[in-house]
Amino acid sequence: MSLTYLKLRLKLPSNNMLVFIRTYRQAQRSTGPKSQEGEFRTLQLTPAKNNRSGPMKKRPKPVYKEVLPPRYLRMSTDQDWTNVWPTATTFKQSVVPLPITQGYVASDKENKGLPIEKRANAELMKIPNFFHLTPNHIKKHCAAIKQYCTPWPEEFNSDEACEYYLPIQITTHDYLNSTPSIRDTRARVVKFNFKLTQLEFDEHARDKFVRLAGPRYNTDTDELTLVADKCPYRKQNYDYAQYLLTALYFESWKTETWEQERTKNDWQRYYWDESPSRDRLLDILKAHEKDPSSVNSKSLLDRNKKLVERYRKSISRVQDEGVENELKNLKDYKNDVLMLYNLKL
Amino acid sequence: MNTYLKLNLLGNCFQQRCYLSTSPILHSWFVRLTNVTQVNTEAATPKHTRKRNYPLTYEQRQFPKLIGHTKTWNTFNTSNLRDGKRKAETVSDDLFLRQFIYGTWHSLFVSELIIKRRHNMIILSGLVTRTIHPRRMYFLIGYTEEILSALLKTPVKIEIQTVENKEDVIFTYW
Repeated sequence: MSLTYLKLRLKLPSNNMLVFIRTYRQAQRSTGPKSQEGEFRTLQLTPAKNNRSGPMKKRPKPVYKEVLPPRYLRMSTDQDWTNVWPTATTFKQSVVPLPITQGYVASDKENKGLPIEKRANAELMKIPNFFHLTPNHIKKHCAAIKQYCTPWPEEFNSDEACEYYLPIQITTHDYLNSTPSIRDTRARVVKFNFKLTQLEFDEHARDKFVRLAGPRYNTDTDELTLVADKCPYRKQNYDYAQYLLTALYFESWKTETWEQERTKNDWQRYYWDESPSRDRLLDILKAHEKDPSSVNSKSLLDRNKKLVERYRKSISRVQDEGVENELKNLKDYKNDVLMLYNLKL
Repeated sequence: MNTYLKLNLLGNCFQQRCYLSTSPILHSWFVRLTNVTQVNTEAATPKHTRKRNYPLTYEQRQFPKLIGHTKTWNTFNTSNLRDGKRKAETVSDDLFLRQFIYGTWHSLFVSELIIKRRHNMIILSGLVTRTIHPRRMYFLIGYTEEILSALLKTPVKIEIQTVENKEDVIFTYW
């Protein structure tokens, strides 16, 4: 827009000369005369022939102040980069003083066959950068959050100590999304993980605990995993898992009447003390006594304590362990049996 | 089927084109359509002009099939990941943002609008020409940030770079 100033002079009756200055906007390609003196102007409905300006003129390009040279040319080389790039932002070619290129040039016809530099490069603006995470940045972050940290407890100097003092491992997950909401339904799940050695058990309670836990108990690692995800919120799930653990533990210590009816088929592992093998061994031992009626089973076992213990262990191993060590176990068992009989026979 | 047999066309068919095959992938006579690597390769791929003088930016030159190879996506968010949330909302927001910037910053952007989402923040970036007064550009930045934040209920930031004119982003002539 160009502003033209039009001066209108009016002659008044008196001798005083008053000058009125009227300002208004005028169209750029106005065909009328630029200025007119006097009270009345001529009305021109059609453009005058002599004033015709030909084809539409190109609007002149606006000229602004010259752009300053990029910052990386003006800044000192020993400045603190953390002040230049304090937080995560999009790549700025005028700030980063590195000769970075990015882009694929297939032939000489593209970008004159040269790699694409950082200026006017949108690809560099798309990718995330780590100019806000230099070692100096990290040092500053650490110094800032140090006041909120507490020293590491001296008791937890080894993994065993950590396991002893913090027996249960509670796992929860937090999810970060690029959405307006911070809620995520997956964050409700709570996982309890601990070893059974952390709890106090007798033979029966442990057996019942493992039976109640079912597939949640991992025999190989002796670990129990409880996952609570029924409730909508994490706190509720956490409370439920706590309750579940407590209920499991105290329920396993109870002995119901129907539990007396269990047979050899219900054994989780081989109990030699309750097995027919023990009776057979006792019979054999008793037969070798001079006076079978005078000895009872306890004295018999006490007398051959070492051998019986060995025998018990090897036969339990054969029964309990899988096929991995089967050959070795069977060999041991054979040796023990031979030893038992060789001594007596 | 019986008519085919009667007319003894079946044998010829097997030799030439397998009409009767049940698998469209392996035995289709129009293989180009069913081969997954070859479908939809025509979109956004300009034809050469006769004089090879039509300017293209890097973004336009790298055709859609090269996304992830020689150029990256213009939108970055977690909705596109597995189990991502707000998939539909994110897409519609992106469409709206692009339309808004197209109208508000008219003929100023010389690159595609790059939309990055970080936490609850939306970051718009791209290349802008220095064809308007800096004062007007500052106004546009503030106006866009304010009105988009109010509309989308999340903080919106604009991080743009300026170039002298459109010639600066010409990558090749097609």
